[in-house]
Formats: sequence, C-alpha cells, structure tokens
Amino acid sequence: MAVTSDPATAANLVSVISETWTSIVNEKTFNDTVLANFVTDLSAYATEGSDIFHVPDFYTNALTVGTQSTQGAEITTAIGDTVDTTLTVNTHSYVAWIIGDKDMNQIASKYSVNEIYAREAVSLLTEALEAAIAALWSSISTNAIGDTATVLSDAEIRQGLYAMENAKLKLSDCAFFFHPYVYWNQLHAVTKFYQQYSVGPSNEAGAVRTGNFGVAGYAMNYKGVLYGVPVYTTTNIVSGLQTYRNLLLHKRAFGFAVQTKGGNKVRVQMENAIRNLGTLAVVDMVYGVAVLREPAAVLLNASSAFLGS
Amino acid sequence: MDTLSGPGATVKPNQVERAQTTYFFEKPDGKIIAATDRQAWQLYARPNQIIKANRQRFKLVGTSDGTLYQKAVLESHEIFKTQGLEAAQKRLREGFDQELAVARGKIIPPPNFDTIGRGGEPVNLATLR
Repeated sequence: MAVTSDPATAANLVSVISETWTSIVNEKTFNDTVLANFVTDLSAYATEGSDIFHVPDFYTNALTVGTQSTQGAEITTAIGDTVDTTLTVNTHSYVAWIIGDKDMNQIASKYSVNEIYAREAVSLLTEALEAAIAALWSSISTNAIGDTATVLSDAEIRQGLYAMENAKLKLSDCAFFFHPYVYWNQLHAVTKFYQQYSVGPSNEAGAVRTGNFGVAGYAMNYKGVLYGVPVYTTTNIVSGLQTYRNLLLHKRAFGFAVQTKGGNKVRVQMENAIRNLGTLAVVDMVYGVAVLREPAAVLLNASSAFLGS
Repeated sequence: MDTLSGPGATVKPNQVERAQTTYFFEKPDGKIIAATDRQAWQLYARPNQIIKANRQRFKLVGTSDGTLYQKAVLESHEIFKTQGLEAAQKRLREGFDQELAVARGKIIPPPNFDTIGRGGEPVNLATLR
C-alpha cells in the first residue's frame, strides 16, 4: 500500500501556516527640491509679520546718459519711475489624517504609521511649493522660446543663453530646469551633446556613460552643466497640451516666501482628538510665490509629441 | 548634420497622450496659453503677481475637451513619416488654433484644486461624509 498517496497540502495546514508583515515599507517617492533651492527666498523677511513683500524694480526705467554738448550750459536731469514688484503670502496648504484609537492600538508596533505619513505629508507640501514656483512660467513673456510643436534642440538652448546674456545677466547665476522627459528624450538625443569631440578629453566620461553633462552622480537631481550653466530636472515642470514648460532662470527671476507658524518651513502637529477618539495629525505650510524679475526668465517650450531617438 | 529632420533624422513620433480638458487663458500681453488641471485652477483663482502695481489676472477665454489637439498629434505623426518634421509641426500648430477656436466663448471654470482627495482629484468638502 502506498504511504504517500495523500500528501499534506497547504489547505490541510492552513491553520498553522503563518503570514509575516515585513519591516520593509515602500513609501511614496518625491522630487528633490531644486527650484526652491535656487530662486530668491524671501522667507527671512516674513518672520516679523506682513503679508506683502516689496522688491523695488530699478531696472525697468533706468537712468540715461546725457551729453554736455555746450560747455557751461545747464544740464538736463532725467529719472525714471521705480516699479513696485510684490510677493504676497496667500496660500495655506495642509495635509491631515486621523486614525482611531482602536485601529492605532491594533497596528503592528513595527510600523510607525504616523511618522511615515508625516514624511509623506512634508514631501507633498514641499512639492506643492515647487509646483507653484514652476507654474510661474505662465508669466514669462519677454523670453518665450518655441511653442507646442517645438522639439527642444541645441538651437533653443543657445537662444535661451543668448537672451540671458543679452539682458546683461550673469550666466553664472542661472540654471536650467527641465522635465525628465525633455532631458532624456530630447536633450540626450542632440548629437553635439554626447559626441566625444564636444565632451572633452578622451579620458573624460561622456553623457552616455554618466547620464550627466560633465559631472557624475545624480545628487539633488543635478545633471551637470550645459555651456557652463547648471542643469536640474524635476517632474514639477508644467505640462499642458503635450508641451513641457522648461525654464532657464536667473536666481532673481522668481521668488517665494514661507511663513509657516512656528518658524519651520513645514509644521507637523499631532494631538489626541478626544471627540473623535483618535489621533489627529496635520502638516501645514504657509507660502507665496511671485515673479520678481520677468526678463530674467526664459521659457523653453518642448513638445512631447516627438522624441529624439 | 541636421539631427531633427532629413536623412538620418534622430526625431521620431512619441506616444499620444489622452485628451484632457483644456483651459485657454489670455495673458495681459494678449498671448493665449493653454493649461490643464491644477495649473488651470492656479491661473484662474490666484492673483497674478506680475511686475507693475496693477495686479491683472489671466482671463479665461475658453474651455475645450482637448480632442482636436489629440487628433492633430495623431495626424502629425502620420505627416512626419511622409513629409518630415516641419510639416508635422505645422499640423500641431493648426491643432492648437483649432482647439482654441472651438474653446472660445465656452467659459467653464476649472475645478477647485484647493482641496484634493487621495487620488489627487479635486473634491468638494461639502459632499464628503
């Protein structure tokens, strides 16, 4: 008689086969902060109060040079109007959640649920600020390159740099901000950017090997330099009608101010909410963004209808 | 070497995104821009902080469903195969103009993105339990 005709199955042993909740938790991922780290931060001025912050504009109506054609004649004086540029702190964003006491007690002790959610909430609000800064593209009029049909190429890059230098702005104070789609699918397809003759010495690793333009590593979404100007990527670059609104910014082009109560950029608060029999958590941030110097920004439109192969 | 079109062109058609409700805004300088979702709400609801003391807001001039531009993208891909990039880009620009023409006058404000749900969609707190 066979003794192995009826082997035990998982169904037989269902009451004694355990399940394990691992300590590995997959958390939501976010962009590194690139725009807020680069543009003008007026938060220091917001610590003493105020809702509107003025940045006077002396460059729109600058002084002019006169000529003393006739010696001894009375000179002509001329002075233009200053322009009042303002930034208003008018946005109070928050993320909130509540977990009932029964559920909180029954969550496995290895999971710090409120900590995980707090980290996610802080990153969400930081991204909201980044998105608000990137959304200022709509105010750029002086230097708008390309349209909904443009496939970004070397020509548009150089047009943008020309616009900056033509405005007498230092390129050392500028940076590119591309959407990853544009960076990987259009910029890296530009032959000039990866051919060895333009990369540099033969012992220098090129873009195909490093994924960057001249500098290895991807720290803080920094992707190297193009024509000496730093390049960053962020998915917060706005897209609409399959067009990405990439930016070439001077650090004075855009500004923001954070005025969260308590002094930190983001405030995390938790309390035992008796009326709800749970723990209420609220993460909030108060901020405002503005265009401070519109001619110091270049809009580089790039269509996602095409990509470089 | 011309890397965008012609022999050895390194550009090719990409995916076609789904049509999205598109909002067209007129800037103070008269130019028309298109926006979707949260950006459209930001342009519609927030004061426009531009240089000068006059705080002009972007004017919503029309709303459309984005299908005409999506159709233009599809057709531009076909045109690209036979006529090259410039002709395809021309079709895209025509698509933008067609979408704008259909949208003009249809003033439908964008949804309020000040409060969003777990999926990132705008929600009305009054209707939530």
